[in-house]
Amino acid sequence: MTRNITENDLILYFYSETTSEISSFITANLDKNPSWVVLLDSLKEVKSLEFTNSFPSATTEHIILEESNIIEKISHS
Amino acid sequence: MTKTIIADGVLIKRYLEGNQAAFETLLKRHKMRIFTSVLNIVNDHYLAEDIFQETFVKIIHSIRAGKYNHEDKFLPWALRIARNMAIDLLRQKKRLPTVVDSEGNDIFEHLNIFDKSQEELHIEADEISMLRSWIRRLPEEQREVLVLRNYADLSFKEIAEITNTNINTCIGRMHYAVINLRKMMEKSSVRVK
Repeated sequence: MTRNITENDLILYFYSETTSEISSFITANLDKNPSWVVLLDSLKEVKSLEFTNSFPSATTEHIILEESNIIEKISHS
Repeated sequence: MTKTIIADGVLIKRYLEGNQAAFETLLKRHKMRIFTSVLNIVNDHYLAEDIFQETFVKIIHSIRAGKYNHEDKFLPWALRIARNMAIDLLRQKKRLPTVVDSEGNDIFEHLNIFDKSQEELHIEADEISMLRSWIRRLPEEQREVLVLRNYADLSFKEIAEITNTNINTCIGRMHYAVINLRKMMEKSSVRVK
């Protein structure tokens, strides 16, 4: 590795979206770079916050299914 | 017994062949992820319902018109439609005249026709409600990337395509979202595992 690791590299590393070369380099050098660990810990902390799953109302779903059916009927008539 | 999951692309093909149940499966599979993403981005239950409905109507029409060519990338495609729909509906909403009370407040902001308060009362003190309020306080662009990456599980490349930006912009927004959320967490002295 000849270039410096940026915050963007670390974020991509956290989400497993970086190249294997950069990923291996970061993993091997984490101990020597406490600032990387701070950012990765923050990402981990935020990722662990769970979103509440929400659902559309039954009426909305019904309208959608009806729409999909209407088109079906028209196209086959 | 293992259950085989039929790929989205196959479901769409079956729906085009006249199989209504295939569409129902597709809706059932993605409704939670799409609706929750939209709700967390727009912060308005009614608006989220409208966007969700309009999104799926558009999806139906596009599929029927043979415009779906994203193989098994249904979710990013649907979220892109939902995002564009949200922008359009928010623009329309801004054009509507606002009815204000004597102190200049939008009276519809205070009307609780939808029984949200009941739900909110139950979760008022818990962490989930707190997360929602933190996310609500993030700037829109940061909130969008955070929801699409951490909840909808899209890659930064997919988010960049949906939001018509580039990957670096998305990563930058995520970084600021994390910084802001950490600040809010520290302020309310809540720590998560």
